Amino acid sequence: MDQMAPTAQSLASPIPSSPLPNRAGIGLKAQHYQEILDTQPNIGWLEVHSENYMCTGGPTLKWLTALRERYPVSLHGVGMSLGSAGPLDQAHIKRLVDLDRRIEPGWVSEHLSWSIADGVYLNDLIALPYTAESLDVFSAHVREMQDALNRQVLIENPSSYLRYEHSVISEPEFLLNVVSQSGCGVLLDVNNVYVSAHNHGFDPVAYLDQIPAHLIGEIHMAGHSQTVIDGRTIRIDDHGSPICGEVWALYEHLIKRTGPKPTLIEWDTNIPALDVLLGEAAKADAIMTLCGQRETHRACIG
Amino acid sequence: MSVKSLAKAPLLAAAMTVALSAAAMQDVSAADMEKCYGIAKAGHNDCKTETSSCAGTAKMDHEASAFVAVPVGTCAKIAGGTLKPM
Amino acid sequence: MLALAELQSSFGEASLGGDTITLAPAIIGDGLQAEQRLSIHRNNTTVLLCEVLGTTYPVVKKLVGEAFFDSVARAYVRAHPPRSPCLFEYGGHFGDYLANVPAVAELPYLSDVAKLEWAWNESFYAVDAEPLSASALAKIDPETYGDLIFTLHPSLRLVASAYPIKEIWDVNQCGADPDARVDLNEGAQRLAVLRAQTSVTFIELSRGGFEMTAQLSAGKRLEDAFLSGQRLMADFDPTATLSVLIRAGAFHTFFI
Repeated sequence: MDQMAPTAQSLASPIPSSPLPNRAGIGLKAQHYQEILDTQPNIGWLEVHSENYMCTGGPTLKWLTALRERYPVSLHGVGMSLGSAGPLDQAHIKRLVDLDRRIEPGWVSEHLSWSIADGVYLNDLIALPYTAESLDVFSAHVREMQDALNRQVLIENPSSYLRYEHSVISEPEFLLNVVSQSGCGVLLDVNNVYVSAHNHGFDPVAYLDQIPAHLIGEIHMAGHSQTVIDGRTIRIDDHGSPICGEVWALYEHLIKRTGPKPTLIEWDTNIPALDVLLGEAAKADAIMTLCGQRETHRACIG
Repeated sequence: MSVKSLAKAPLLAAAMTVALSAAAMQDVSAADMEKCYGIAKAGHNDCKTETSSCAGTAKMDHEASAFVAVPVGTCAKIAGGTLKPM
Repeated sequence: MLALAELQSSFGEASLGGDTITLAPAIIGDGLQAEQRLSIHRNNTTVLLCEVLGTTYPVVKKLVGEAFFDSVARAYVRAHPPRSPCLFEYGGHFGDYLANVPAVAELPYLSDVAKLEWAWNESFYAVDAEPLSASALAKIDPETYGDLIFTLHPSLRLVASAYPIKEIWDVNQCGADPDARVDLNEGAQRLAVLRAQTSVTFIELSRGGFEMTAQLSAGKRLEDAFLSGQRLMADFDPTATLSVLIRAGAFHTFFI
């Protein structure tokens, strides 16, 4: 597996000037369309799940188009299944290309995972075995996606609930190999790192520290929940509650090193009032202001 | 063919004439199209909840033990016809 | 070591309720059984897809109650898992599926209500198109009305039922009168579902009007469509149907 060890030289060139502002953004939900248009809150940008807007007409596209006139937008995909052994769905690629042209997003992103087996879409972001075969499959699919879109995409680390016996390297190493083989950037989900670290017993700080700042195009923050299986607590990435203190602490640690980065507040179940999302976004903005300037490290709370 | 058509369907021409004169009173045109966001509050007709998401779920699916044999919902409001009383 | 394709195939089966015999040895237990870890993924697939069906079929869900809906939805997910990642397109066979579920045989309208909700969903996401204006139609020589062929608005769907499904739909909307009741003896209902502008609307049609609209939708000449309607309904007067379709924007283009 020597060929899988990344070197500093083999990593992709740095993310160019950020296509999204280095501020907090929020996940756009249908419940908030009207209020955001009416009140135009001072947030940096909005993110949507691409698959919800791959229709050919109707109100949802009109809402997004109207909001796009006022905010930068990021398209976050959940359905490309870049880790599937089978070929990518060409019709799905076409729909993403069409949406990309229509919305002109700051970033297009996808997940380090797979969701499709034998043509069935499982609606679940499932971890890959971290093997040479997976790396070849995944990197080729990222290149195919980037070629179709004619742009660099970001790949997000997943939350995971299991690992495979035949994995040969760690997840961050695998992710950096994908970067070097495809030229993609990284969408670093701090909550996902925390959830997986808890579920598998690794150090989340060490994981974050392995990802070079210049590769990170965007950060995700979200709440998760806990469930007990056989007396053991498993953390589930359900995006249905406030971001917990430990994840905020990891975020501060990350921002001290990377400086401000476009940071998304994700909340997809039990969706709260818009003000709650704006409050979480303000918290992220405050951390970026306090901790994000390298020369003001000491001013950072905590 | 149209003369024969009208002979066979005497109602049709009259119906179209009436329909058009009625419709002309409130012509549908681009100018009348409301701005999407102007017409209804979120959660209503024009804001269907998203179906795709990257979140997982902590809700447990209890498989066979969760099978519910009897519908118990607002179907109690629907009566008559061939439906047995509920 | 499982090849990736084989692993994913086994995983897909396990997530849809199948066995985990091939897959389990490839999973690190780390204090749990492989099966317990896989159950988290089975939950994600099953529960979240049931929620998608609940989003697309909210009236069916209210009619049968959440617990019953979830058990039927789970069976549907297992029998007809999605083939596309765009989940607003998922669940188109649910109405037909319900027609064969013995536990709802006493709710004979349920399948048709599901078909109405699917028509609403398709109409909502249909491609946008400009409705044909009455003033454009008014320029046509009345002598040629019978030869008109219309392209109907792409959001138009037609749903007919032996039951008053629009009333059933209405009393299950948010804000409906909680004491409202529906009498199935109100009988058959024939609906055009349309989103010519922003909101999806239901247009109730007569038996003849529904048949005429269906024939127009199939590309038939106006006269032939009218005569089809008249064959089903001897006293069919197309005035009301044509008026409401034109005013609602149900036509997109025409040619002669």
